Amino acid sequence: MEETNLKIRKSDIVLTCAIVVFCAVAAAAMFFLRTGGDTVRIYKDGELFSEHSLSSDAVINVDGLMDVVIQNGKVRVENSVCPSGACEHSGFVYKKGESIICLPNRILIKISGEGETDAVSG
Amino acid sequence: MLLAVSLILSYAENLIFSDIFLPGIKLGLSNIAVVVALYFFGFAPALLLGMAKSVISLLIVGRLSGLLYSVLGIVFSVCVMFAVKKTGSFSVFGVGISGAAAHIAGQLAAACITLSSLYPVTLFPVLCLLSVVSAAILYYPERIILSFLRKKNSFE
Repeated sequence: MEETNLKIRKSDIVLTCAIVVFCAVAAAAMFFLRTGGDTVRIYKDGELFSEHSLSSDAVINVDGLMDVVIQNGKVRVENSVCPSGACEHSGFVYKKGESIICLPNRILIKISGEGETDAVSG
Repeated sequence: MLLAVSLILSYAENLIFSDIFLPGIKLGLSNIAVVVALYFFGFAPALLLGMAKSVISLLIVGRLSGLLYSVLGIVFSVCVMFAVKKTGSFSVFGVGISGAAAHIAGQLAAACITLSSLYPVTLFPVLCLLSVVSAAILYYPERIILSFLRKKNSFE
């Protein structure tokens, strides 16, 4: 049987620190670069389902799967049919680039604003 | 045998943790079995174990929609752990950490495919940090199991 190394080594610490620092910087960058958005887009199965302004309050029912609530410029999910309710627990989103993802229902709710760059960059 | 153990761990974990923490975030106790399999039987058995584990545990929970998500995660994870282990300069700790990060990457890749959007990528930093923490915790049971198995092996 080959030799297994059980004790933590220096290289492990370096690797872990590298990953942690990378993630922390990326998370911080994304947090600070975001500003408030003005539009919410709802995608179902990867296609645009509907688009709404954040300035007026509304309740949008997405194919009977969930209610998307717009309230005071913020967006949240209510009454989702999915078992875990992860989307409801996401709470409010309102910054540009923020989103609520519901995998069981294959729905993506995304905030966008003017001059928005591609989603990947931020 | 390991498959059974990992299934039990995964099921027990679902029972214990599902309501305590945020939904979707858990420790991944069953991944201990995958790491042990990688060390004792090699790449292919660990990969098979991981895939069987995710398929069967999803059948138990009854959510097949998570299949792609779970399988891609485990495939990424096992491949990266194998590569990192192969370099020989990392211990079980480093292997576990890199596996955890790869697991998240795989799951997010699946999420990108399901949603036809690159958006889930932006969730990576936060999820990755959490997975590193859980991998660090899992290191201790992994180490105990591996050293026990190694001792047993050398006596035979």
